[in-house]
Amino acid sequence: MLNISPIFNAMLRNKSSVILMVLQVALTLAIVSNAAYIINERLELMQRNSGLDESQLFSFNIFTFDKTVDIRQQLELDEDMLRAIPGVNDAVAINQVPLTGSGDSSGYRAQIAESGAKIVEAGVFRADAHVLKTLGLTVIEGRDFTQDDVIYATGASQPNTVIITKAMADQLFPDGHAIGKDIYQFQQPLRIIGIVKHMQGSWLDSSYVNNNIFLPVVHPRSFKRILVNADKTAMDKIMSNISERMLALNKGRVVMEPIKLAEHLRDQYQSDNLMVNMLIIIICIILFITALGVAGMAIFNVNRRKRQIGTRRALGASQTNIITHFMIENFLMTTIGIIIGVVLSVFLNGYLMEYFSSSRIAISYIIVTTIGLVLLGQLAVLFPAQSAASISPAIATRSV
Amino acid sequence: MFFYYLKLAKKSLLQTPITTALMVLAIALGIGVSMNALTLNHVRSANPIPEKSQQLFALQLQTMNKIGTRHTYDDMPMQITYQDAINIQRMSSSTRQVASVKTGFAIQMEDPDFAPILQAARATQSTFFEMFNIEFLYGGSWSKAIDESPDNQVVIAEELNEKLFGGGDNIGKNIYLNQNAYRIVGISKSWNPKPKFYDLNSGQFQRTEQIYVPFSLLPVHEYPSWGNNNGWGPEKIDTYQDKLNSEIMWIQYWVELVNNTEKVDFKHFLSSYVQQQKKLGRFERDDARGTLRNVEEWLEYNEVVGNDSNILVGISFMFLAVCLINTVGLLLAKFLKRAPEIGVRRALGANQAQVFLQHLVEVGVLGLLGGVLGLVIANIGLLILRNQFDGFDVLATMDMSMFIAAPVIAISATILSGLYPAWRVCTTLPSIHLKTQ
Repeated sequence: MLNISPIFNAMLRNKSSVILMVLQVALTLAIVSNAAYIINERLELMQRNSGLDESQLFSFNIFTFDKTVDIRQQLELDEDMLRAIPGVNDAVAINQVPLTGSGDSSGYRAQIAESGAKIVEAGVFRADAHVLKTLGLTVIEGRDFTQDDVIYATGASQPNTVIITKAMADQLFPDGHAIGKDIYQFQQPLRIIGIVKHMQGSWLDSSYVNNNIFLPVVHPRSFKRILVNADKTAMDKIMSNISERMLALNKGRVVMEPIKLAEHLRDQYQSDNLMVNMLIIIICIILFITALGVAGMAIFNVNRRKRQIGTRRALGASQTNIITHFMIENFLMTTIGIIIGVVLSVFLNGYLMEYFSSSRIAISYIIVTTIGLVLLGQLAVLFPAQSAASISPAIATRSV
Repeated sequence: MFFYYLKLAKKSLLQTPITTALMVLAIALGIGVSMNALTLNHVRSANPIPEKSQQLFALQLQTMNKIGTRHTYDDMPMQITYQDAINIQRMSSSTRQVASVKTGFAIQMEDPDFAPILQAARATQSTFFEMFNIEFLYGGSWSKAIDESPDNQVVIAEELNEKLFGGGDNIGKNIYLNQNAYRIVGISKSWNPKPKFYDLNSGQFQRTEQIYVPFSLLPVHEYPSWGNNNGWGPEKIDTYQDKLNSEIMWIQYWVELVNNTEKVDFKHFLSSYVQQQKKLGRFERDDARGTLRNVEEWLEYNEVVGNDSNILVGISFMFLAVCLINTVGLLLAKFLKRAPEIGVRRALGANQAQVFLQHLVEVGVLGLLGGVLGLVIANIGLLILRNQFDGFDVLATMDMSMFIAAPVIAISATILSGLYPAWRVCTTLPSIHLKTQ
């Protein structure tokens, strides 16, 4: 029923067009499948749970230049003032704010540094006992800090207790039971008193983004960050006059513009967002162009073969036969293109893996793209095929 | 002849307006998308100081112990310690070199109503301006003597001069940095190398600092670092002096070496310095060494161009290839359809070369149209980027070279893709087509 061989022979009469079509399908498959895979990779990255309610948090920086200010005391006054604002759930002076792309990190071990024990890199958050409440985190094991845990230090003094994220605990103590154990940056032990379920740190692209440690220590330094947890509805209003409120308490400082954590998060994912948008645009245009190419080629073929089509019709071929001819012709070309395209896709993915630390493409992306391309080709060829089918058999009897 | 071909091209293109439009659109989209990606890449991969990029070297030292690690591929720290900066400078004083670090101040003016502003600053040495070719509007750098015996002097950049004074020559006036009076000795011309190669730590495309203060003031005013501070071992740091004496790496260090002899000599000096420090009990690793990277090597080492940017360029050029293949197909179809007409021209005496050229001119016109439209598409894309994403005002801007590159790439790529169809049509035998007529 399906007469592949005459169709194949017809294709061979016009080799260059076939080669071009095959090439185009192959390249399209390679580009679309890889681009779709990268898009999905990035979307997954952006959809990770931060462990925080970004829509309830904002932060701002203060720089105290007046040397007569007792910063430790002033920070207490600031925090009291902020916590008393209606709509504010809690506020804390902190050394770094999660999701912002800037902060401190350090390596910790389950034994002293000289032991050579595995080092676990982590983001270090230093603040007073309000830190977990402000971040909206709760301990899943152990206890939260109390004011007794907190130390105020100008130099290198370390607190005795720490709270860490579950991810960090699992890396330091794979066997569990991290509560009550000591960890070390160098020689001084830090006792783990609590574990929080999950929080992303400051650098979303780092391998240790989920490893974070909270130290109950406040450094009264000229440059400080303030993190505020406020009700969503009241947030804009609170942010609008935060600078005036802070300066009213003390003028010897510069108060920077408050920024929502949601906005920081958007900024951090900006390049991923850009990548996703560019690749989506490329995919859309390339499919459009390829569809146009398929249709254009088919229209050209129909025009060139008008007389032959008319002759076939005159010899008894039905309209459906003519349509099937073009559909099968397209299917054959697409199939050859796909075979080459699959090889090309894997090759391109291999290149991306080797030089750009991408990961192995999931085979489903190639399969879905393949099906999509077959459908697209068939759809694109349908209209020219129909116009071919409507060629009158009488054309065979006319000379030009 | 050329103008006759142009006339023929116009006629031919207008004969099949839809095919022409499709081909122009395909080329334009291909060029538009790839130019867009290339522009982003072009700015990232730009040479920020071409006249000196082979002479300026970032200095790195392997000062860590065996346990310490950094995230670089060769495990070298990006910055050096304060003590090494001071030592190296004292021991190789004939070489032009500069230590610097990012800090910042609250600025106040004589006017008590002036609301204090916070500004990033660079603590550095008088050589900074000569080494990085920074010019002055008024005054100049503080003298070399200040690099040894500190004094509250300051150089401010043109933009800040505008902001504080509304411009003009303000040499000799005072500004207050963290409540200390500093005398303005120089106002530097606007200088914004992209990427900010001399300190890539916090934002590779950040603006330059607007305030320069003497590095020698570090121990006096205890400037905090506004950049990265990397430690690797247990150190008790209670005072600022502890930090200066410590193994914390936080100083950016550049050396200027104009020829190979100087480079060899300085490398030799570096290895002797490493040996000397080993004797003093520092630098305990077997691979303790100093390395020099020129500006281009330094940017590559810091991966300034970035993976995403390269992937986008690659994919968008593959995309351009698809657009061109598409165009070749359409051209082939179009030209072959016209074969009978060509047969007549050939029979009337046109030779193969003339037919070939005629078609290439037509293809060239297509390429030019596609290139220009592509340029428009690319710029619309860049405009959207600038509006949608923060920080893209620098990255998403076409410079002159890109404006020229787009149509050139478009025309040469289309002519390349037109070669085969043009060759096909000029090699068909005229007799075949004449017969069917």
